[in-house]
Amino acid sequence: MLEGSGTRKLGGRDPIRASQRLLSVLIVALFVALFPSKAHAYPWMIKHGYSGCPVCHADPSGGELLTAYGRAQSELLLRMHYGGSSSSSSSSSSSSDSESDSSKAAPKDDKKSDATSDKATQPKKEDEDEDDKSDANSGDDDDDDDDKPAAKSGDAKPAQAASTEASSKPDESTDDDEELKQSGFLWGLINTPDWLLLGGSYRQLSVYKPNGLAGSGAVIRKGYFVTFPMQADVYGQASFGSFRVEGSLGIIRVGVGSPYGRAAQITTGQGDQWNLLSRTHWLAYDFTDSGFTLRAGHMNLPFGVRIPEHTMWVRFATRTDRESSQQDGVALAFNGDSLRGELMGIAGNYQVNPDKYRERGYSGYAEYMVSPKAALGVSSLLTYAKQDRITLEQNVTRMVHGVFARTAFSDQTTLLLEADMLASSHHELGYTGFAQLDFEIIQGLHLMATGEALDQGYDTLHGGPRVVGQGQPQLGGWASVDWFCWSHVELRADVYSRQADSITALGQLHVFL
Amino acid sequence: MAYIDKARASLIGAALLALCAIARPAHASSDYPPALKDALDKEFPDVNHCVPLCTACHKTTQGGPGNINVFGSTLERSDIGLVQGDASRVAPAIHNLALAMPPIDSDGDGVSDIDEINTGDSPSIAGPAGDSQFCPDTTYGCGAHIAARPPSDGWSLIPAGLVALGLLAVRRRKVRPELRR
Repeated sequence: MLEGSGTRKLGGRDPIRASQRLLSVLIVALFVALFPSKAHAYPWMIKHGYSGCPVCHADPSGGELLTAYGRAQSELLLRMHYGGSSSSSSSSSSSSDSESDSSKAAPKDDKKSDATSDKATQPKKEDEDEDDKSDANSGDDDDDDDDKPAAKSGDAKPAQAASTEASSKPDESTDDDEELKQSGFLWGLINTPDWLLLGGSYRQLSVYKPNGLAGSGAVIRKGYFVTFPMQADVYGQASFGSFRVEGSLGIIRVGVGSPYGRAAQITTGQGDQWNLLSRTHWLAYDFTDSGFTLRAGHMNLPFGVRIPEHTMWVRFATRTDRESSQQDGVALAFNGDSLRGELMGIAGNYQVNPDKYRERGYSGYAEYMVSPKAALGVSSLLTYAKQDRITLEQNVTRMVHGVFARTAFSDQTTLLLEADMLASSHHELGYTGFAQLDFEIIQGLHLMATGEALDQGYDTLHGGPRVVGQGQPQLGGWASVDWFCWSHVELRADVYSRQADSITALGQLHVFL
Repeated sequence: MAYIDKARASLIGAALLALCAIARPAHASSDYPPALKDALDKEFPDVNHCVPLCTACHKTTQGGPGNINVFGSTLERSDIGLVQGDASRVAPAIHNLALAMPPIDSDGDGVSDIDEINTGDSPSIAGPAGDSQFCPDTTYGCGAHIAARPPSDGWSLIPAGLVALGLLAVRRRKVRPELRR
């Protein structure tokens, strides 16, 4: 069904017409989404009135390692609360954002003797001072809060109100204390000093394909099922004044030739044994008063919506996912009131050898807040490699340029959009895009629907017939349930169907330390 | 927002956790590349072959359906006999390819597929672009090698089990006295 209708609607076999039509549809959808009748909306935590990734994440564009403040927000706003006695839970049901923020902010501004609580207040102050931390790429759940970043405008009042409220309700304050303690590293078992951030992620993924692998090469054809540790990383950051040093270390085991994990290896096993990997390691200098951060090292590429689904075509086909697409280079990030962005000069991935496979060029994005809860951004990437390590083609210049948006229609509903043009040597023009609607039915339980499209462009080097995804549009759809069931624990189930691939069910346990 | 019954939520969580944990551990990878090496070693025992990347038969190292290159298409010809989704058919297909007369030249560069494979060139990309591309020299990592051979699949459940035990232990420790009462 998808194949027939999708192909016709997107322009049949003409890739240029298909690209134009897809972009037109996405742009229209984007503007409709950005200017809803009720101008409320951000993805994820931004819907609660928060923006500014650097306050919640060590990475100025979001993802991975959380700050103490980010941990507190994760505990109060992200996870499900049970029993109805939690003040933070009740705040979530509030119809007013400011009211919500008040309750959430309460623990932050209370004078906590606990170290975690103390640290959780710091970003708040920083935010009030700078008032320039705007959010990073949305969606980045993972540590999920790429959006929940610190409160920006209007945070002071809620904080004061929260303090008053908290002081008049000692029982709730105690609950919040407990929650904040639990938000620390290893569920609060270890209190780290202010200059040190520690974290980690473990993801166990189960994949089920009732119809098998659709000829991709495995012996098992029906009822294909595997489970494996997809991610087992620890990461940390040490701060010395305005300088910071961050790094991650993990283990992975993938098959020979796998597109996953390999590019992040630091050990040299080329077979299917366990290897150590490091996805990120960088040095940073924060220009405190200006909102700029300068980094050098191995980093996520600043591009598009920073979602955690690394196999989503907008991340996979553009090679800008956080799984193993990181590159070495130098990046300058800016986080202001209504504008944020990051530009990275790519020097190549020095965990890939030999040098001819290293891509060099730039990647960057800029995002503007068109309303308090809607943002519109542009991204651009250009690289050159003597030989492409994915296609093995020689002298490859690769370009990706696109737009993205994130917006929320209510306290519960958010929308992420991205559309990118793909241009590469030896390929005709291609495109990819996605739209993801997230509905938080109750705090901590998200229902998501995602549509995606891809045409990587006809391969003029290899030739052959035009097929979906390469010369013809390829469409896919996802239905997902994401449940932040407990402190630092996420359970997620996805079912997706893509043209030329069999239907796939994913089950994921994610524990972030 | 509404609340959910804690006991019910715990039950669902335990069920999902079990789903993640009980399955036979494995890692998602294709059986084709090693099957292709074995088939070539068997057919041409005097030649050293590598385990090729997915690009031997696909257009990218990501492999997958709908991504077959001209050599992959050759192997799927009815007279060669490779069947999608059945790696056990690789050896008969290579045997048929070796016997084919006249020799098959998928990329049309004047050198037969078998000759190109045995010299390390790509049978799907015409030379010189395809030279040495059957087994590309890509390597990963920048430090020491930590494992000489793969551990058994069961090892992959150890970290999952440790995390689960840790969660249970922490949860028990965190239960507040008033709730116990």
